[in-house]
Amino acid sequence: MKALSWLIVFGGVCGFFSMPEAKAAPKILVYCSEASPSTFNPQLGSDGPTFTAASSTIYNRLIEFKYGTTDLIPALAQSWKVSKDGKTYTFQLRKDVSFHSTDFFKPTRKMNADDVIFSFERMRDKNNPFHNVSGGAYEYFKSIGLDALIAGVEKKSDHTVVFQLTHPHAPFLTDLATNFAVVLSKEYADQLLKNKTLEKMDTDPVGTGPFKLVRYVKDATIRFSANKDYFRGAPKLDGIVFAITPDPSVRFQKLKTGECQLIAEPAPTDIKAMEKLPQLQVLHEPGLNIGYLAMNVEKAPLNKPEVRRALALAMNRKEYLHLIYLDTAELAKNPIPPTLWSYDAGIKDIPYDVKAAKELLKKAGYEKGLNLELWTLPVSRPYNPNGKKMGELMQADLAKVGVNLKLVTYDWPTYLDKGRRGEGQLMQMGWISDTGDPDNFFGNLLTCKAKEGGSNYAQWCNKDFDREVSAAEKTLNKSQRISHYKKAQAIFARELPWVPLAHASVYRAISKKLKGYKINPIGVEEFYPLDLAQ
Amino acid sequence: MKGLWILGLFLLLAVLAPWLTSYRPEQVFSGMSLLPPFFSAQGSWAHWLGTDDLGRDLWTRLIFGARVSIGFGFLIVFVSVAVGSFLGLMAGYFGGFVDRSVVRFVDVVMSLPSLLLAMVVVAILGPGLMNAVWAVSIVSLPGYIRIVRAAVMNEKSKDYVQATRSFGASHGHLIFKSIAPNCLAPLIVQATLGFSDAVLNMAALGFLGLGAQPPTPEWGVMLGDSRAYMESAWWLVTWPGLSLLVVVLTFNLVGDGLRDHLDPKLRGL
Amino acid sequence: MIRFFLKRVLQSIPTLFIVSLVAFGMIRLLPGDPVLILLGERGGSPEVVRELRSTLGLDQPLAVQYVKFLKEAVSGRFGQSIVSHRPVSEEFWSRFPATVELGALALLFAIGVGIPLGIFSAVKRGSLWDRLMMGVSLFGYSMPIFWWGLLLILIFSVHLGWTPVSGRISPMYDVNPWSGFLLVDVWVRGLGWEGFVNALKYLILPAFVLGTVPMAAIARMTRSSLLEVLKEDYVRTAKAKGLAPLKVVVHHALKNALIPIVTVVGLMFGTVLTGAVLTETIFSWPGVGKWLVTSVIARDYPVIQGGVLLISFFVIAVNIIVDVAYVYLNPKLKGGS
Repeated sequence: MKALSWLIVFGGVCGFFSMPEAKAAPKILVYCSEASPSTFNPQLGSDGPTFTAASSTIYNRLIEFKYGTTDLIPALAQSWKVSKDGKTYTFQLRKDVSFHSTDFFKPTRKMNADDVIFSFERMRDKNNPFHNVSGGAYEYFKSIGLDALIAGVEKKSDHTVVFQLTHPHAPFLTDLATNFAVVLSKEYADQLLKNKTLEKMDTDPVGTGPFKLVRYVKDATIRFSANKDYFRGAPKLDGIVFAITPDPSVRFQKLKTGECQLIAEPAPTDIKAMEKLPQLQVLHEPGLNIGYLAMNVEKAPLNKPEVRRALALAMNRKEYLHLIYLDTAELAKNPIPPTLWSYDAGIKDIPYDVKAAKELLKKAGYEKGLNLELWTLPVSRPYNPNGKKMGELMQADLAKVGVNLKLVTYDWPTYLDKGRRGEGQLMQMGWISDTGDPDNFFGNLLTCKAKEGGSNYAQWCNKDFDREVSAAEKTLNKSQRISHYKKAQAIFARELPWVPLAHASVYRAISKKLKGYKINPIGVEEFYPLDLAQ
Repeated sequence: MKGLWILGLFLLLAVLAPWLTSYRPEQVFSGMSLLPPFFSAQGSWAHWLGTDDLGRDLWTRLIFGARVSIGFGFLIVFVSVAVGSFLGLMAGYFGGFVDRSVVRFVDVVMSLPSLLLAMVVVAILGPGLMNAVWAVSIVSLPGYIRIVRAAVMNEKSKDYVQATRSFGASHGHLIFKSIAPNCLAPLIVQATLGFSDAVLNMAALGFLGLGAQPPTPEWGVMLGDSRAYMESAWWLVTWPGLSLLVVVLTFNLVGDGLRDHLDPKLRGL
Repeated sequence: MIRFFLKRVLQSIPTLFIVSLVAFGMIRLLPGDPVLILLGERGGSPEVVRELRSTLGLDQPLAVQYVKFLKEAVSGRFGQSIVSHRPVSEEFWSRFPATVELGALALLFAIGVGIPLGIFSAVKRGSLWDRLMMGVSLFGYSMPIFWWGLLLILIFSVHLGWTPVSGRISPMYDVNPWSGFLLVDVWVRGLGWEGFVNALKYLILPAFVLGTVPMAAIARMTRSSLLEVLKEDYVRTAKAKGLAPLKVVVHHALKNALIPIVTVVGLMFGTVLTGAVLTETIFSWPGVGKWLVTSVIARDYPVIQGGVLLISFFVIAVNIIVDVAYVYLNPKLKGGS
């Protein structure tokens, strides 16, 4: 009897201490992200973490980019036709795509035209019941001008959608492939309308994508589980966990210990150390970005092209590549990077020529010297990892030609605000493209319209340049577009509203256990093609 | 009073800084970045405590940083003691509406974590050393106001004050000649403690990037910048932090000693 | 007692009101337009900016915005975060348990180590032990918390690998929040001892760092107030009666010494909150402190207003509790404070 009771106690104790296997045997990728997403609906946000967490995990778009490239491939739309005048786009949708089936929503039909129309009407139509949900601010949609561009979205049949544009716009297809243009579920929307819980659209998302959202613990973790019914086939991973880790050195730590297999934005200072570790692999690719020094052409003496050119000649930009970018960037001469089509390699580079700079300044009447204010970037961005350090180097360089620079900085929101108003003289800035279309650079940063919109920090408005860029936007003929952009680059090189500095390469560090990874030029991570070696 | 000796040493270092080094704190030695201290393999005596990520001499930045941290610490204490004492005197002496307003002000400031309040003030005024000084001064006021107010209220009821009043002395005379001198003791004690708080708060703001701006050397800023180099350059993390600790420690020691001296009753408060 | 409590509550209402005014007003003085921050480098045409501003309700006259803010605040609603579009109250309460768990453990450590430390030092006054302990507490008192955290991370996480570097629990554990306190939720969600130990590993270092300064302050206070009491006549009488010194301490002295200790603990609540801001930043602890820092940088007005108001509410509440406890322990003081 005693033995039996001891056995029972022993068994009980064992039972108490035998923990359920909490560590996952299934393939779960842990990704160390750099910040919390602002929302789970990419329509509402424009920050990298939101796009990485939602755009290609939970959702799909009509058209998408082939993984690791900027080439367009069909996604929810299996084919499309463009009218001769470039104003009508007809999309044929796939018939085999299902929305996620979850605890709170079970779809009764596959994706069709109603879903696409709803997704765009939500952003366009102020009277749509979902328009004002979660703030009603569709920043991306508005800022690339799609609200003005799209005249109408119509259903031709259950699987045909027609977009009518107000004028031809060559980058339209690329715009639809951009992260924000996701397709939501109308059926889910109707269910939420009935239950009067509209915000769930964005907090409990339902999409067509390869992963479903399981749980978001604010500022801490995001969990996804695989969608076995994904239309391209079930993903190889069983799940993903985002571990939100704002500190880059901590991300490196976690990668080293194997807690994460993929990290966001490694610090350039850690790259060398990462390359030495056998369990890691460091990848890099030229990035779709540009770091530049904007020269406010509305403020004398920067209104004189000779002065602007002199400043460019006086800067030892190759040294900056070494000291600031730690040799992870390429010297820039055009507003667009060499990997982007229509890049004109024939444009002559700006040499480092102190004598020529002094001559130009003398010709412009500034032999005695010049006092200018330089704004240095207050935050570390991929296109400029250390604004203040670069500012100090620029200061030293320009002193040699008699130009006295005063270094000023503001915190990021103020910096952007004042820059937009055109209050500065010399301002460090940059741009990371998220569409892979040259119009995203030229149209967004250097046109007169961009000046109005506040993203043309040099306040440069040149009619010839505008004409070329506008023509390139309106024609669908790629070779014509290339020739227009080449002409635009020539005008840019002549007028030099910026000192082009660098195109930073994108670096990623991954665990060797991660298979199938490619760097995405758009910068947002995709998880569907990934696999984990056990 | 070992504390006073160490304190004196630091003050001496701060004052004599330009003569104790042949470099300037903003001076960049290209190619010499991230040099370890002299006792390490790659270290050198030319930069005996090492260099930072831009190649600036650490010893130089530390002692010039002493000027910033200690100097501005004094400034903050001076400002907040002056303003705080004034407000406390007015509140304690005049009572009534003045008193109630001042107490209300103290309550409001004290109902928020000091760093948060300082952060918001700095965000309004813009990042910068002087703005950080104003922010930390505001946040430090309540302590001094309360002490002076309590002391004044205590003294006000005493006989000698009544006597002086009956002789027809003006308010001003009473406040500044009679009452104030008797409030000095607790004020001095609070001021020495307040100094450490001021230095720490300023460094915290610098750490968060809201205080002194580059290239001004300030210990908190240096610590904040060192985070990315925690593994690769431990000396960037160690020296500024150690300096902060030692300065604050010695001031607290001196404060303790002063307190024991001036008013044994307040010991350990 | 109840009357005293109610009196204190009533006294605090105008203070809260002024705090709300200050929170609202000061935030509006911040340079930098939240709309522009949202748009980032992309900028936007003037109409886009105008529309965004009106959608966010930022184009109304200030007085109207303030009244709306007050009305909603009273019912516990603080508007919507500009960044996440979620209600500020939801953002606050979802992060609050993380901060409370950290702060509670830190205070527990501070009291659990500080008081015994203080007692022993007082009883063994003047001995080497006393001087050593007081030296330790002086260190703790003077320690810049952000450096202390970095140093400990360097030693324990980076070099020794004993503790993890950031987060609340291993990402491999899926804990569906129940109370928000991980140490509780791991049991509720069936993760048992393994989960509990794991969560504790993540908590230890930040709690220790956060609790260092309060520990030192409490130790000093305990020692000095105990010394004061030990000098009192009645204690000497007890000693003369032949009671063992420790017994004397515990039975007679401690209760009276408790009063200033309670005050210090109450004061430490504010220190812990301030320290939490720095600690959470260093350890990437997903609590209220870090959230507020990020929101100040992003000019998320509703979050800053609501967060400031909520925090000051809690600080005032704790102060009232401390005052009431003070009066309870020393009824002589009920008349005034």
